[in-house]
Parts: sequence; C-alpha cells; structure tokens
Amino acid sequence: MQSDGELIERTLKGGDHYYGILIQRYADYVFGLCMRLTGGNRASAEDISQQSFLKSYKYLKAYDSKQDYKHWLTGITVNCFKDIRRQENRYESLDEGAEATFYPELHGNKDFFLLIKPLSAEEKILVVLKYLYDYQNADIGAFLGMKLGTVKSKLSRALDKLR
Amino acid sequence: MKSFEDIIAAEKGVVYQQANKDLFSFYVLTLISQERALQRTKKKLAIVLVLLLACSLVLMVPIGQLSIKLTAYVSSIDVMGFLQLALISYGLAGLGVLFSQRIVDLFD
Repeated sequence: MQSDGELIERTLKGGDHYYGILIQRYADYVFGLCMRLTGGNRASAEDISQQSFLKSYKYLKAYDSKQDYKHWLTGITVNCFKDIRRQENRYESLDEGAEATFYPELHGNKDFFLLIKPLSAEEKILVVLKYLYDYQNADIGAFLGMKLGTVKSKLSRALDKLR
Repeated sequence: MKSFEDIIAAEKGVVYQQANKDLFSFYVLTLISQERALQRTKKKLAIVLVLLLACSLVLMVPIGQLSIKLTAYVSSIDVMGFLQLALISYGLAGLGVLFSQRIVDLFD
C-alpha cells in the first residue's frame, strides 16, 4: 500500500488519479467529522467533505511532507465548516423573520447532536476535536489560529453550556 | 438522563460512512479537472486579450511616417566610412595580438 506522502508526490507530478486513492482513503474520516460538526445533517456533511477535498487539492503544494496528512486534512475540514457556516449565517441574517420551511433530518447518534445543538460553530469544533478525536489544545489552536489560552477558555465556556 | 461522558463515549463508537466512495472521489476529481480547465481557459483568454491589444496598438501607430523616418535614418548612415573604421580597428587589433605573441616568445 502506498503511503500518503507517495500519493501526494505522485499527484503533484500530474497523476490526479492518485489523489482519488487519497480521497477514498479519508472519505469516511472526513465525512464522520463533518457529520459530527453539522450535528447529523448528512447533506451538509457531504457538501463540506467535498469542499474539504477540493481545498486540500488546491493547497497540496503547500503540504509539508513531515506532517501527517490526516492531521492537515482535519485542519482544512474544520476551517471549511467554519467558512460555510459563516456564509450560511450571512444568508440567514438576510432572511430574518422568514419561517423555516425545511428541517434537515438527523442521521446517527441523536443524543450527541442534541447535546451540541446550543453551541456555536466554533464551540462545536472545539468540543468535537477535543472530546471525540482527542486532539491536544495546541493542535486545535493551530487549526483555528487561536492562542492556547483562548482555546482553553472557549472550551470551558462550551462545557459550561453543555453541563 | 445520560451524562456528558456517556454521550461522548457512545458517539465515539459510531462509525460514519460516505455513501458511495467511488462516486464521491470521481465527482471530486471531476470538479478538480473542471476547475483546472476553467483556469486554463481564463489564461488563454488573457493572452488573446493582450495580443489583441498589442495588435490594435500597432495598427493605431502611423506606420507610414515611421517607415519614412526609418528609411531616412538608414540612408544617412555612411556605410563606407563605417566599413573603413571597422577594417582599421580589426587591423590594429590583429597587429597588437601579433606583437604581444612576439614579446612572449622573446621572454620564453
């Protein structure tokens, strides 16, 4: 089996089908992360997964081979989620007052999705990465461009909301 | 009511799967090649635009006047004088080389 580094190297040399292997390798992982971040909204999770792989391809030249690809991809995915949520919020503010006509169906562990529902997009990222994927605060800070102290304080605020 | 830890532990055990990985990767690769084709087309369009601008600039310049001035300049050049000067310069340079070789031979 080819390593992620080899596949990336070959993709950069013009072999796009090698990137297809990488997509298949991490499709479930990214989709799972997106499902958790979107609170079980399958359509939204698929959309964010797709955007994440597109963005990962776009910035593949900037990928440092010393780094773990999965780790790098996680950073891209959470930032994609944040960007998409920000765009959605912009449209929601335009649509203020209008009645919602569509409620997405939740797939998976509904207890968890209901638990994180009151959290903001950023808080969801913090809780999901810290408690489900066991990331260190420093890594989470690097993904989101936050200082360690900020990560800690925001996490504790999110936990207060949950408990 | 379940505790926070119980819900997190239960969620950790859930495995999510992309519905059709083959189709998903194919779709992403198609979007990538589509994006690349778009970029290539934009680049070609930019080149064509620059060439068109260059051509239109050339067409707008009064070429007749320019060619008259160029012909006048070329005809004003003293070709014979230029050739004589070149001949003298090369002759002197050749003599210099010969002279320097002689000096080297003398010292050897």
